Amino acid sequence: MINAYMDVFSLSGMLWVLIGTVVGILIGSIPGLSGAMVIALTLPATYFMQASDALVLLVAMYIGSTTGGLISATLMRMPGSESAIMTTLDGFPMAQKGEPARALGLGVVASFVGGMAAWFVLATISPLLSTLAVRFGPYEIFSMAVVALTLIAAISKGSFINGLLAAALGALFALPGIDPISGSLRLTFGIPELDNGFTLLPVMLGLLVFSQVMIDSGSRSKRPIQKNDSSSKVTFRVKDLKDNAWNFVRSSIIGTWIGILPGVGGTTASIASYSAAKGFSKDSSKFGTGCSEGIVAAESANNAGSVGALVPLITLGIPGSVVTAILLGAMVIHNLNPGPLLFAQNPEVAYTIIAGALAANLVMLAVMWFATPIISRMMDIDKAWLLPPIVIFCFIGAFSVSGRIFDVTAMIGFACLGYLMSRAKIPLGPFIIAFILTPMAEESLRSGLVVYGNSYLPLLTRPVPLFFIAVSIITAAWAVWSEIGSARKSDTSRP
Amino acid sequence: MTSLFRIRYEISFLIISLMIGILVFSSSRKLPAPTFEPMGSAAFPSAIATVTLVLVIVKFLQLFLTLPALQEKEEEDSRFSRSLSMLLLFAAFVAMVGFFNVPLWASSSLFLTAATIFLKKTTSIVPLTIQLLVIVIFSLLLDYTATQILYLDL
Repeated sequence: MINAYMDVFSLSGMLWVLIGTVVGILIGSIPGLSGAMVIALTLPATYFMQASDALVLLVAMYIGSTTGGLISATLMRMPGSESAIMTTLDGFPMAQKGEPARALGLGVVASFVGGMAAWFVLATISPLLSTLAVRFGPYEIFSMAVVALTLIAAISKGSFINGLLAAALGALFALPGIDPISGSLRLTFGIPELDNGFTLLPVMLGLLVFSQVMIDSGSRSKRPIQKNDSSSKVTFRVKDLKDNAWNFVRSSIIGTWIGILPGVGGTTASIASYSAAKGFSKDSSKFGTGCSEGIVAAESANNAGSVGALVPLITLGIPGSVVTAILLGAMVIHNLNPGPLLFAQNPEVAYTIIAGALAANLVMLAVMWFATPIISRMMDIDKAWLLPPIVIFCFIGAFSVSGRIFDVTAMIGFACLGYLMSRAKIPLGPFIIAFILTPMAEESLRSGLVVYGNSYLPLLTRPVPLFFIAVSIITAAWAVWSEIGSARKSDTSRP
Repeated sequence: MTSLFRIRYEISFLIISLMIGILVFSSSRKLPAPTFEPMGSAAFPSAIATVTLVLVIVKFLQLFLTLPALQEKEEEDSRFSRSLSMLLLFAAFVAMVGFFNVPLWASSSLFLTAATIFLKKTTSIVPLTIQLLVIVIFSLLLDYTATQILYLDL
């Protein structure tokens, strides 16, 4: 553990943290670009890096991109990242009232406090959870995959059916290639390039990056720009700290624990925290008009949720969000065997991620405090200059996997699918997570059947699988019930 | 018909999902029976394909029983054509590099120029010249990085 911290806080380690955080903040602050995009684009470049440096860089980008969304949310009313949506509700109005520096300062400090609270939980709970996870058998792993998919399908944008359909499609695309148990080829349709199945990187680049480029290319929208010479400085008042002390604590706790739930992530955390802050506030009518409580609640929770999502990733090998799913892919690419045995077999990897999260939070505070004036100018870059190079990087990234044009063609295919899904309001998150988890889920279920003599009963008699399956059923029932309720309300409200 | 046009993306997605589900289901039936383990390689694909088909049917019913209100305006067609144009430009770039063996720096220069002008038309000569110069320098750097540092066979 000490070695991991020393490696991360060494000169070279901190350089990677700085690069990752700055790039993450830059990309996170530009509407239309996301942390998932930049991490997916950076993945091919990490082939040539040491695994520990690659993970530190990617984790720093992850944390930086979560916070970067604050800048455009506050100055332009356009969240740079999805998790900054709630920040626009009070950040932009406060900036419009002539207090943009205060809005940014509140957001930066809240992000730091939330991130550090979640880091504390990550550092203390993860080793304990991992000792439990080592005892997980195949049915435990299978049930965890099921609950992760159910949760993300239930909580994703759009209806539960849309989420499930996206997950089912992602699972189907994960199946071609080598059977994980028998080793024989299946569903390759006579295409030799499919013998190893669809590679993760072209799928992610196509679905997350290139499809977004296609959508952005089609948009002619101009952004409302908050023109103010002092708009991008950052200030923080001690009075704001005193007024929001409990808000900081409550929002960080909510964000951390929601982020830990597999398949959920920072966006849901910020929404839940904002609602809680409004409920606990002495004057809830201020929310939406530029009140400090709203900014603190949203930003504390979204950073806490983002760091919290690292807990299931490193202890169970279950991604807590789409971005952590990409981090999982990075670990697979570097032969790091993510899963319940990560702490047992590669503890230095797990502690590197934990140390990287700490370093990234500290660097994020410094960068956001001093470099926001420069970063905010980057938001004015025309997409005509941004999008075409991104496309070229997608090509290089997809081609670099195996040196085959097939991977580039696959990326184009997934980009078209991603475009169609986005226009049809089908969420991409369940697709990506199902694509990553399906091989693990299938192998676990089939191994479990061999271990338990062709019996499915241990799924219901063993406590951990029973708990996870119960959570899945309750979540699915709640999602369906909510949809039916919403459909009835919209029917009664029609004239 | 107007209503169907409004939900064309949803319908297209459902048709593609249906085709993929049917394809996987029919292909998995040809897989060999299990020998040393109870499930076999066909069970998971068949199960997920079945779930997909059921969800597609449910979604079709949901879509046609509760048609969504018109949300998008007339500029919808231009959005799609612009997105398609970007895709076609990229496909042309891939064809140049992958099939016609045009050097990477030349292909990417052409693509970047075409894409940049497509996204933001530049009519003045001086900005256009600066743009082209920046693009060519960037493409040359990219070519060097990809072929000499990363050793990609491009």
